[in-house]
Amino acid sequence: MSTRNCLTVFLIVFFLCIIGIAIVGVLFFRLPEKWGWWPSPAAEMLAGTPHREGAAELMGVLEEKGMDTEGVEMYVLPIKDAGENLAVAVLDAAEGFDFSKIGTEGDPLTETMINIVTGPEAKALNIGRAVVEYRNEDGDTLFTFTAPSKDIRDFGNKIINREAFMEALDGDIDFSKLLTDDMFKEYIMF
Amino acid sequence: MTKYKRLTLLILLPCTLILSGCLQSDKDLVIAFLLDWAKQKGILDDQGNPTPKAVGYTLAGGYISTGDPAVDAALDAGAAIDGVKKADKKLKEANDELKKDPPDVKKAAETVDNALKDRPEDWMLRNNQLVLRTELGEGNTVKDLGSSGAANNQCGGDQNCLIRLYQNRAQLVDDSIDRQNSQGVRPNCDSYNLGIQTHQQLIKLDPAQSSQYEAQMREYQSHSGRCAD
Repeated sequence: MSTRNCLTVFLIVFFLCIIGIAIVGVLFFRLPEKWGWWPSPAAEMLAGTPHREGAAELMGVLEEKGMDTEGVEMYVLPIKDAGENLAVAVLDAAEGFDFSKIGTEGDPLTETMINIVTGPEAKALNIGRAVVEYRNEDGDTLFTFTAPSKDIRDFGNKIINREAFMEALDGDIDFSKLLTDDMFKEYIMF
Repeated sequence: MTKYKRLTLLILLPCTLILSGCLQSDKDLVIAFLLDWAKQKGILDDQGNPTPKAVGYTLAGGYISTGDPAVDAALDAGAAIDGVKKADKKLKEANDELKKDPPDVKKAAETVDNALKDRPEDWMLRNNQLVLRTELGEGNTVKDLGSSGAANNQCGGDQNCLIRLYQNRAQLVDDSIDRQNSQGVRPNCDSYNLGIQTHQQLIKLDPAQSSQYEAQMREYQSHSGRCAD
């Protein structure tokens, strides 16, 4: 094979690899959104007017359930073209949130989601999905979890087990920030 | 921190996390939740060791698509909320301008215009822009915002959303007319007309409260000969 042919094959393979990496980067790692080249799905799908009164009602529900809501921010956002709303609880350590003060009986993340979606307020507000996001004292998001309201309620009512609930639960965990975070460092055995 | 250092830390994760024998503290329960979820999703194996999927997670830094845009949006809701907070902060600044004596309506309107750049589809901000520009005598520049078609688009036809939209607008118009009165000037006719149109929509959408809306509408109509053109 001549040098020219080798070079041509090399260039073709090289560009195919670049295209493959670009496709993976766009579809899987969402790099253009990460770099701010184009807006994330949230920017478009959650661009509607927040239901501020509804958010205050859901916050009231959490307080009635005995949760310490210091550092907890609640939002109700319409999901575009879905005909339902998203309830988002941001647990912000920079604003005073502390897991040790939350006052829930069981696992705080699951209980927060269950408390948000199981009352008549959530039904009246047509909450189709709940999100819980934890931010550390530097304002960095360490983890975010979301599930459809039905699955959360079914788990709360013991219709589905923990394994099925975990399967229905989608999430993002920033492991690198988690392992170096002051709150979680005490669990690290060094 | 480089990606390789993050990867090294992740590989050490199963060897470095400890859980007390009794999972009593809320932090223990949170860690247990995170581990259970990671195992269920195949990021950690049953022994808590990272799988190849964990490498992808670390390299992506939390930006992996689930394949469902609605779920991706929910997981990225924090970005939308940061936009809401930014816009709400500007709306508060605008309201602070209106509380001054005399109120700086022009500055408030400009601040709301800036807030709309962050959240152009937020009808509460649009209502504020409509009412303030009308108060400034610039109603023609924002005429489209006041149309029922625009409101329907913003609410996707949702009746409850429309009622909230028009109730918010009615309150803002009321505040605007009070503000103009408090400055010793005759409120402009466009402000009263906007109030009348808003209450006409509310009467249609919320018949249960129609007597209240009709009373307010008649109040605005009584000023039609005594307003500033």
